Amino acid sequence: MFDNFLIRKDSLKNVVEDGKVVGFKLGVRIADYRGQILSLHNGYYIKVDGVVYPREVQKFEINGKPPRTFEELKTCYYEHWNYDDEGTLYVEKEGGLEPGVHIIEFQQSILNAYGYRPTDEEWVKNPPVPGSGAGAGKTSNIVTYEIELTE
Amino acid sequence: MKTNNPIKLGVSLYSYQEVFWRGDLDLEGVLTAAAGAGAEGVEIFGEAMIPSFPHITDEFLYKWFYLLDNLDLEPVCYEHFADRRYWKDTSRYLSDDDVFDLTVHYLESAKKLGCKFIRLSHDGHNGKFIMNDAHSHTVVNAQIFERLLPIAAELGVKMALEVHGPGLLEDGGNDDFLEALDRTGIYEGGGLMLDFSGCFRDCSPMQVDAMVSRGGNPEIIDYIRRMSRKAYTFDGNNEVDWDEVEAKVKEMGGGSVELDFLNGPKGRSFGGVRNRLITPPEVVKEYASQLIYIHGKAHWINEDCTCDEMDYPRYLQALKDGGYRGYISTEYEGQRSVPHTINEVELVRRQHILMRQCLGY
Repeated sequence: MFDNFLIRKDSLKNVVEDGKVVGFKLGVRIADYRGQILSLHNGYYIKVDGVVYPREVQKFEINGKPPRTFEELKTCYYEHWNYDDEGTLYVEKEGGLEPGVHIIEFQQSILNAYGYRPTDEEWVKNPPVPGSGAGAGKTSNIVTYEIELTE
Repeated sequence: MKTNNPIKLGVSLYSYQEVFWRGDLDLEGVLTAAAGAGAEGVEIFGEAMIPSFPHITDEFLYKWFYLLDNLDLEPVCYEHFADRRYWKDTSRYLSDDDVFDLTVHYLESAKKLGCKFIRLSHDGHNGKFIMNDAHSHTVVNAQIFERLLPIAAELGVKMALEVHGPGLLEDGGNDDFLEALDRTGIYEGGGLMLDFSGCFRDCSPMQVDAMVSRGGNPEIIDYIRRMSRKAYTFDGNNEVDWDEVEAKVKEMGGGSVELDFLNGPKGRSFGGVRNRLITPPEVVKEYASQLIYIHGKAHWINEDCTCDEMDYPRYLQALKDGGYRGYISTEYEGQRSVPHTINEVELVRRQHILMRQCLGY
């Protein structure tokens, strides 16, 4: 759902820490029709110019708190990501991205909250790897964006 | 616009999910769109449109009632969910008591919002098709429903038991809920709700596009659609020999896309034009007087405000003849199959024109 708008077009920026570029970040929205409890948020398939950045190098910033890993987020049972809020996805990459346009292949993984899907129990124990199509909510395809790095 | 009509027309704001998500319309914008379509009332989807969800702030309520008053709309229904995996705590699913507490909170929220109904997420949602009947995977079951009935009645908020396709009103999937109502006699606490998905006779143009993009032949798909509309338009002339249709589809060169459309994907217990599950208007008429609420689910209404998907004239006549008194709230959902190409505001408006024509308003 809302496939073309999951990433805000002008949000791709490098991340600088202590004077060094340590990665990049982008603004993302929920690919569903309602908000979500954060613990159900299972990470992203993100491939930039042919390179895949796995969940382990991703962090997510929401609700005014510092960026957290998806290992941390999976226990946020009581925290809600509001439907209307933009979150920031951080990806570690030494040196960041070059200026210019990048091809980003993207899929968000948010597990269904319903509780009656046949996969529910399995996915609590073994969450699917983002990008496989499984657990991708209402946008089950990988969406490709051309986005320019603005900073 | 308030009327004294026995059947009132409303809009679930869920219908405007894409324009709202994109920020093109805010709460005031979607309420104005509903009023502009001619609605008398609205249903609100809390987890999408109430920023402090699951809590409702006084500030939100001031705004809500101010906007409704100014647009001459009334609050009708609040959308409920009972996600057992709400927390995804690996050590447990929500217990029945948790789901009970959560639902009481929804009922109290509905009262705050001035709504007379919650659309209850319950185990009879898909009628006899329960997706997973392990107890820990259910939503609101009949036992929890029964415990909630006195609370709902005291708050003046009814729990609407939505029956959604592939489930049908008459398939027995809600019997244990109806027994709970009969046993307690607390009919003020809840009742059956129809979703138009149980009345569909045809697919939408978006589904046709999807089949064509998978290699389907438009001419064969059109033939199957015509047969579908013939079979499920209950005008006394709806006999269709599906084996003949299948033979003709093959003769026309139909392959897996067309045959799956006709017969349903292999390995699934429902689906396919020939096995379409539909509640005929006569049956809707029988149930009409006991329905408490209706979702007017729709995917496409033609530009001239006619509809292939559902036979509005016959179903709305059935509701009238059967004595339905209450709301039909549009639940427009066509935007989900082809994002960014559909004007939700216009599609809701078309459906309201069509329904008003059928009802003689």
